Amino acid sequence: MDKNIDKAKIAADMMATLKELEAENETTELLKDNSIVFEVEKKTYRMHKPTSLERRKIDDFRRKKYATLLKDDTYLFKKQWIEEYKKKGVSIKDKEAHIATLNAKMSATLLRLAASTTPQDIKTLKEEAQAIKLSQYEASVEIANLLSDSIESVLLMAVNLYVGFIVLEVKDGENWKPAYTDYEEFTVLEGALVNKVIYYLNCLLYSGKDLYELSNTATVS
Amino acid sequence: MNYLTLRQLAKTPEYQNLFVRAKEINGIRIFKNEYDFTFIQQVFLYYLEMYHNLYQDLYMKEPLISESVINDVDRCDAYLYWKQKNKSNPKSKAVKTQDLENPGAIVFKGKRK
Repeated sequence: MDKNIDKAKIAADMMATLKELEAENETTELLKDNSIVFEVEKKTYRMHKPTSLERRKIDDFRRKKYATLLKDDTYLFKKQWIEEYKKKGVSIKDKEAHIATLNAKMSATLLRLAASTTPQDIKTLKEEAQAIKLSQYEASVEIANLLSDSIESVLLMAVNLYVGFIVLEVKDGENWKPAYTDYEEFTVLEGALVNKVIYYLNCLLYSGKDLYELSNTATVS
Repeated sequence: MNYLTLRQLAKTPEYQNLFVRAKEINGIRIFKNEYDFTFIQQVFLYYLEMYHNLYQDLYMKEPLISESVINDVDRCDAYLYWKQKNKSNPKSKAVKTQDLENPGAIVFKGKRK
C-alpha cells in the first residue's frame, strides 16, 4: 500500500470528521434558545423571533412594498412570467411536469429500497435515489431562477431583508440595542454580516410561508 | 440550515433520552425556551419524534426496520415512505410476511394506475 495515499486518505477522513463535529456543535448552539448569538468582526450580534410589535412593522413594510411593486409595470406576477416564457418557447408547466415525474420515480425507488436486503440492491437503489434527488433539485432551481424576478420572489426577498434589519441587535456593554436604525444603511451592507443574517433568518423563521400565502391570494391584474 | 446534521443529532441516545425524559418529567427541557420555538427547533422536534418512533418500531420488531436502516438517511426515508403507504393501504399489511420473503415484490402488489 502506498503510504502517501494512505496518509492523504486519513487526513481527508479526519477533515471530514472535524467538519461534521463543527456542524454538530454549531447546530447544537442554534437549537439551545429562540435567539441566535453570533460574532462578526469582533462585534457580538443577536437575532430573535419578531415580537408582535415587530410583526406589525413587518406587515406594514410588506403591504407598502407590495403596493410599490404593483404600481411598477416592469414587475410581473409568476403567472405572467410563465406566459411570457411560453411565448419564447420555454414551458415552465413542462418543467413542473418533469418534477412530478421525478417525484413518482422517487416514490417507486423508495419502495424498492425499503424492501431491499442485499447490499448490492441497496447500493444500486441508493445511487438511483441520489441521482433522482439531484435531478429534482436542479429542476427546482431552474424554475426558481426563471421566476426570480416575479413580484412574489422580489417581495419575499425584500421582506426577508427587512425582517433581518428589524430583529438584528448588537451588544453594547451589557445591553442589546438595534444594530441598525436606518434601513437604507442596512440594505447596502455586504459581506459576512448580511450572509449570516440571511442564514440565521432561515433558522429562525419559515420564510417560504410568505411566498406561499401571496401566491395563493394574489390575483393577476 | 443543515437538515442532515439535525437528523444526526436527533437520533443520538443523548437527545433521544432527553426527548423521552422531557415528556415524562416536568422541569426537564430540550431547549431554554418553553414556547415560541424557532423554525430549526420545530424541525428538530419533528426529527426527535420521527427517530423515537423508528426506535419503537425496531423494539417492536416491525418488518423492514433495522439499526442499519435507522443509520442510513436514504433507507430511513424509504422505510418511512413504505410505512406510510402501508398504513394508508390496510390490504398491504396482509402481505407483510410474504414481502419479507420476497422483498422485491412489494412494489408490484398494489393495483397499477
